[in-house]
Amino acid sequence: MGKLEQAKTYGDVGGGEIPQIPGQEGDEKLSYLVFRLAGETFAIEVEKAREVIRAQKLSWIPGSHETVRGVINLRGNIIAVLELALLLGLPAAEELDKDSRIIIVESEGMVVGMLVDSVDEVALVDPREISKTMRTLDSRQRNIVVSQTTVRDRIVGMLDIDQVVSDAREQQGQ
Amino acid sequence: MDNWSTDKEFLETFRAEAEEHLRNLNEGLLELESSPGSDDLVKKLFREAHTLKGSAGMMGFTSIRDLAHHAEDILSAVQKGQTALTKEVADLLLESLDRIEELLPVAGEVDAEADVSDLIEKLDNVESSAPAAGEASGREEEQPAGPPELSVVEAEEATEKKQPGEEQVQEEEARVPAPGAAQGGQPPAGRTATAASQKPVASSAESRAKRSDPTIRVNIERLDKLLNLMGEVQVNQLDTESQVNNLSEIHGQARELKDAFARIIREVEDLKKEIDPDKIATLDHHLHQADENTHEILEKLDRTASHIKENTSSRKIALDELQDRTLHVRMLPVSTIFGLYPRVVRDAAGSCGKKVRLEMEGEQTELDKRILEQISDPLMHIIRNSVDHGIELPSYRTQSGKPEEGVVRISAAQRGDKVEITVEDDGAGIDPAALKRTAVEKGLAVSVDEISDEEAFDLIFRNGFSTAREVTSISGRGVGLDVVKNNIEKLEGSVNIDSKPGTGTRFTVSLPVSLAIFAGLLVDCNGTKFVIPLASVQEMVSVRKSDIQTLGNHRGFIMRGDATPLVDLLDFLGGESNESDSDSIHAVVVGNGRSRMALQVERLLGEQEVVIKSLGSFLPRLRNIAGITILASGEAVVVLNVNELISSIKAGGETVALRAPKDSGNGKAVERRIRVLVVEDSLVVRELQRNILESAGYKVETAVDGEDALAHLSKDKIDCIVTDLEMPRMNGFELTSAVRKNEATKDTPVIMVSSLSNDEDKQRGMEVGANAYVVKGTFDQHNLLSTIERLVA
Repeated sequence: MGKLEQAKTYGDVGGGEIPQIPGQEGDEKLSYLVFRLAGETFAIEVEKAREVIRAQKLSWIPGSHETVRGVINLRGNIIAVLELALLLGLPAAEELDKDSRIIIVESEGMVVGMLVDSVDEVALVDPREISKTMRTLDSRQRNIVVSQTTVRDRIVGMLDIDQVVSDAREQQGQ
Repeated sequence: MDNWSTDKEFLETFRAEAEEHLRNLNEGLLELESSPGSDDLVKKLFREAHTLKGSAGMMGFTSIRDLAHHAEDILSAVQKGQTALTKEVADLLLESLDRIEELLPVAGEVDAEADVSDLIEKLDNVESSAPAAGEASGREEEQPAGPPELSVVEAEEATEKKQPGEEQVQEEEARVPAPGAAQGGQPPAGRTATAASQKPVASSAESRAKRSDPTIRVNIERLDKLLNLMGEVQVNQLDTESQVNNLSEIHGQARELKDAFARIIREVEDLKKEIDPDKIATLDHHLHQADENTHEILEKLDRTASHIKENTSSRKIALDELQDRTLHVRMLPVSTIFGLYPRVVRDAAGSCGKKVRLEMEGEQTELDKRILEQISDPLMHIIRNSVDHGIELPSYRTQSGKPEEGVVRISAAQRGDKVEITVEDDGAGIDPAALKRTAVEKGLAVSVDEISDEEAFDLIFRNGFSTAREVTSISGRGVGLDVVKNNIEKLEGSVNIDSKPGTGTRFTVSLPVSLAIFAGLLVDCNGTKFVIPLASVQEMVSVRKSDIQTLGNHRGFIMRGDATPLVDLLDFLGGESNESDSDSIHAVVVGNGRSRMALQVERLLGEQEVVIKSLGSFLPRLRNIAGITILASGEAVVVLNVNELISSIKAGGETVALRAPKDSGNGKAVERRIRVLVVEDSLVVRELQRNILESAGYKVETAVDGEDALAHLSKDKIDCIVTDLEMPRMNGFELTSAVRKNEATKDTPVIMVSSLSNDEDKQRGMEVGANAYVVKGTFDQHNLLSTIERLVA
């Protein structure tokens, strides 16, 4: 599947068009799914995301750690949705709105959702423009935000999904 | 031999399995003959023979065991290259397989000790040609045939069933043909591989025809998948049913449309008389057309709707039956685990010098295989407990006028959608007064009068609560019973004890028939929905707020003369409930035999078919939660584990009797209470912890930070310190390290409580000398309380 096609899929599933950054498609560029959380911008590799869905009503699970916002029924499967903001040391959104999205990812055989404030676009990023993260980040972020780049003049923190899921899993006490 | 089983079910299982081994051995041997030299195959055949030998031995079928043993030895020698698998050897092995096949139990008739010496002799000859073979296999025998598998089927094989009464044995023997007859008429097996391979097929088909109940082994995961699909279909069916309602609604609207047209047509009739007839005629035509169309739509809709309705309701009937039967496939009689217990009782009695007879009843009662697998160990523990601590020594029994031999009686019976298993002994019983005294000694209550007998018996299930003067090798009466209770509650079951001193003790275990699909009550608490399994619901009540009584932070009301604790469900589970304006509240009364309480909910939404799903791969199993179910709307809803919930609530408040004394400040019991120092800068958290600890019977001191804590420690004797990490002036790490350095407090347990599970902090905490690290997120009261209990015990 080409990168453009993939981007289109996200647009469909997410219920809204995700604008594709104009630019020459070249082998050297990498696709990132760019999203916002508590006013900051982050991205994950497109390949890591299975799909993006509109945030639906989440069912809260009593006794679960606060980093799990709840679970959703995704075509008959129960999926835990992570409060990604808390994992990054950011304030969690009080209410879901029309822009709220859940990014479904898979890591170590576990499928989980991550709640984000909005999904912006699929951006093609030149690997040469990816740099190490700055040291000013919150200690929780430093673990998860492995590198950064700039998209449309915004600094974008790039997440290591496997680390996110394993950190979150640890929080659950198992 | 007298230990072979006559139980038909065990014979069936054994036979089914033995046939499988024989089939594999037959096929494998033939394959080896046509293409020799596959080491893996020889190894596999060796294992088959080994397993067959083992299970035949367990069943007491000595002839089969001996034949399989020799086959195993030869295969072992082949595997090691000590014997070549010549045609003669293969023929002999195949002949042995045929003989084993003939000896398999058919329709309950068994010849356990048929004479097979002729074959054994031949097999011995082959073996003696390879001297090292016997020795080699001797070593092999020590090892299990493969990785041990834990399943009920395996357990059955390793089981010696309760021995039949004498008369029964004689009767059985009389029916079995004499050993000579069994072997006499049998011609030697075919000399060629082809003949040998056809023979078993023919004979097994023959014997199969005689059997009443052929069985097939199915991987339980396949059944799970089936059941899951069943659930999906059921949910879908519910959705279709609601769509049928939509259809009738549309039908109603179409009818209104038709009525509207009729009215317009009448009005146009009137108008015709006054206005341009041509224009009116066109309008009239269109109107009639529209009216006809509506009529057609209406009729079609009507036909379709009633058709779908019929389909849906007949499909519902079929689906319900399909679901029942699918569930039933997973059910096994409890005899599959009860079979293990005669041995358990014999061994336990033997090791403590007691005489105990085991009686069993209701072995045909069926339970879901998953439940059955997980209830076996807890039951075994209870049975051992009864033998070890219930039944008295023979001399003592004779003195107190009881028969020398004690009786442990296990019985199972289905009651509604629950299965009740009781383990009863006629032993010394438990004296509730002794339990109460222990409770007071341990500071759980101020005086023995505060505790009812029932509550006293429940104490046995508490961690570390045992009245046994000496703990024997098997178990103290209370030892391990907390684990038993936890395991039973995980299965959504409950366990209770009843006892009369001098007469005996009865454990009653109550379990759901199936965990997979059941009826539930859907409730709403401030927008959060929960399902409460209907099996645990006693009734639904509406309580006037003015009837609710408050005692400390406990609420309750009188229901038919009994005080019933009232707990706000959402609040207890950690959610935010909102106080309603109405002057009464809704509550669901739940209970498990002994404990009853009312769960306050905002609204009752109705009954719900529950197809239970796990929390998924990411979340761990969580206390108080049985799983998730999906409503017809697609919404995922938490299903509560009521028995665990009841235990949690009781542990959280220790309800009435075991609460902190009302008149605290005097009395010896109060003096003995354990003192805990809570160090926490947040007022809210501090008060919360104080409440939890005081409810559990501890004496609580508080400090606002490390320095304040040290001041307390220099004045008061403190048994345990619970401290936050981040605090002004002196933080938790600094405090702990100071506590360790002080001679007077260096051994005082320190529990660190943190808002996040952070390995670095944990590490650092341990380095400065903390004894435990509790995360606030997982900070249910239980966790903290059991940690303290463990550290100050």
